[in-house]
Amino acid sequence: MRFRHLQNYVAMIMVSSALVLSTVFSLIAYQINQRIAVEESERQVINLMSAVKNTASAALFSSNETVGKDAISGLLGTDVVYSVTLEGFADEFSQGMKLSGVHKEGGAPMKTISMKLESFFDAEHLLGELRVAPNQRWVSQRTYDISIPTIIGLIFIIFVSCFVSAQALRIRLSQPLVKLRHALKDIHADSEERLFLPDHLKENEIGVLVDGFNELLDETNAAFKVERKLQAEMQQVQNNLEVSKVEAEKAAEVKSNFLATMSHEIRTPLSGVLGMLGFAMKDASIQDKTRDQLDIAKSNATALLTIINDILDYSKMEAGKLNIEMIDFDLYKEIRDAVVIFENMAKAKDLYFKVHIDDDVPQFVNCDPTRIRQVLVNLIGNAIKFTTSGGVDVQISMLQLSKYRVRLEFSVRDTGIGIPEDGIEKLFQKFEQADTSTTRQFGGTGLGLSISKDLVEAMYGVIGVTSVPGKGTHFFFELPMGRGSAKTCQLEAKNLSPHRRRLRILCAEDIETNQLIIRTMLENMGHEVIIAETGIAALEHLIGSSHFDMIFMDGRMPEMDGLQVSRYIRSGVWQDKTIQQTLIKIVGLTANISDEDRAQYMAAGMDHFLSKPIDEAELHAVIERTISELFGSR
Amino acid sequence: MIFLSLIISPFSWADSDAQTGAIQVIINAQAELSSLSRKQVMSLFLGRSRNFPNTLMAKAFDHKVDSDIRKRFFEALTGKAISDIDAYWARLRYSGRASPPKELEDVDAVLKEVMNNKYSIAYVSEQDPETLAKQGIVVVYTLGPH
Repeated sequence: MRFRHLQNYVAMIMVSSALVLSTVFSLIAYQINQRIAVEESERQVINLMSAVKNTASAALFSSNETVGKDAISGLLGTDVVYSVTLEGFADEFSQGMKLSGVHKEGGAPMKTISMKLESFFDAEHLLGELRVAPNQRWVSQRTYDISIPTIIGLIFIIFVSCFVSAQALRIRLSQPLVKLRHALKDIHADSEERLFLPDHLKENEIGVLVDGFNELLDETNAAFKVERKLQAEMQQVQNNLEVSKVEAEKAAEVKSNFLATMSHEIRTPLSGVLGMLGFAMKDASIQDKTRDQLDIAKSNATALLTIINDILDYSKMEAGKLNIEMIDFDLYKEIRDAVVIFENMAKAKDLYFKVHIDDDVPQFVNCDPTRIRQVLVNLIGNAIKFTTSGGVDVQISMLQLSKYRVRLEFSVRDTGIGIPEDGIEKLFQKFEQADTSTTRQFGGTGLGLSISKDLVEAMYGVIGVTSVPGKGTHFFFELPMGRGSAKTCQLEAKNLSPHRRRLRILCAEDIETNQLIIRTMLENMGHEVIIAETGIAALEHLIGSSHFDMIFMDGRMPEMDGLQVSRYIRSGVWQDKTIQQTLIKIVGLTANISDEDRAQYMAAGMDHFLSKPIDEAELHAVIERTISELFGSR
Repeated sequence: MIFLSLIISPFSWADSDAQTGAIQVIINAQAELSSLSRKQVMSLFLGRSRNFPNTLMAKAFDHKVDSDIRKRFFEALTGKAISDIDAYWARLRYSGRASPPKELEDVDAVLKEVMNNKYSIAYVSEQDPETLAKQGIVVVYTLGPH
């Protein structure tokens, strides 16, 4: 049994002791009372026998059986007697007689008491004997009768004593302990309070315990003071660290922002260069030599764009803003598109370039095609860059396939200069190439492999390399991906068919090159384009009576940025003037598309956005969707 | 009548010093007993025994309950007070079956009874044994004067 309270425990012990004591003492009392009852029975029997002695003796003297029987029945008339025997001895005057009787209600005999019967007239003359057995039943009854009050009294006394003892223990011992227990609630390792005991308990074991506890408290108090001091110091250190961390983060953010801004700033004119080159090459009238020069200019510009994109990706990754999308796409087509640019590069260096997709590789998968392409392009680009003779083998093979998932291995094997063993370790680190001489000899930012590794890992894949210096290098990466359906892929792979409507489109764009690019693209698709140089100009256009079907809005503009303009359009009022087309479709144009930007653009009231440099297919799709919304789907 | 007065006169005399004289236990001579022990006398007079030692049936006779000779006889015979003797008989009589010696009117009635019946036994104050013998009475036990 377990008790929450000591006094219950004490009470339990007391009750148990009381029960045991009561039982023992009751048994003893019963024994004693039984003996008393036996003695009493004997005494009573002797008294009775003395009373009938003369009669019995007379009966024997005169050999009178009737009188003898009277005497016997007189004795048997009392409950204390079980049996009576009256025996007269034979002598010269009498042939003797023997009379006996048993109590009519039975019982059991006890030790027989004998009494000699002498002649009344001559004490020397032995006439016979009277033998009486006391009744066991009477003794039991008598024992019971006298035991009941004795036992009740005993039990009462024992219980009262135990109760008094328990009370005394409760008051003297358990109450101080209960007080200790309550006091203990308020005492913690750090508190200045101490446990207190009444005087009568101070010298005993409890006192020693309490003293020990108090000493322990003193020690913990001291320890806590030290601890608090240490904590304060720790806190100080932590605060300093926090400050340093914030500063470091801020610095990193500044760096990332700087990189992002720089690459954006570089990309914008580069987009212009690429766009213009593209338009120039479409001109049928230019000379072949000029076309070749333009071609070289374009490939250089493309290479530059790749580097810029790498830096942008890197800064996004630093900022944790890299997004992986999951869409269904045609893997075969994606690979074909990705590798096609390398065919000419390989041919120019007189290298073979073979791409093989195993037959069991599924055509349609669900993953991020842009990122896969980016990694693949990076690896193939490297392979061709570092190979002077021989060639490059690209192979895509299936590792695992289930109904919904597939695991593919992309392998790029070259016969180039290879990588020394100590270089392999540094290979995937940022801004590292196998050695610094590589940078001088082959160029490159040293970011490509690092980005590739991050991208593969972001897609839950693994990337690896084996290399023999002088023989060649083998890069491979494994990617798990979902299995896609041909249907969704075909929808996205739709051709740029001419739009069925001619739209009137307002473009808010401050940079002239971009104005030219978007105007050219839109006009080629057959739409009417009105350019607004600034955000304010765009608003003025909307206040006027002219009607527009949609707006392309650059994010960054002087005086008022695209977000602000969008907010005014959606509010319907600008400088006390009403804007009619508050629900017009607004498509943002921006160089950086992070989730944050997306949320900001949407919050400002834009419907879509396109990333710069503008992809013609995306532009086409956005307009197609707008036409469907305005004029109903086909 | 002469015979009767002859017999009675010594009795009358005897009565005068009855306070101190010896007491004789007498029986009929035909009982053919010369003497009895004190115990035998007690047995016969206190109802213990109904036969003489020679198996002849015996019947004891007594004097009046309040007579002086009865008191003297039993007290001398048993050493107990006459009231104890009366209590003894009372105990036995209580059962309804007790048979104390039959009481006779006077000494003459006692003598006459012993003279006439051979199973009788009784007691009288001291008499001349010769005289008694002539009447066919034998003294079998004598309780001496104190």
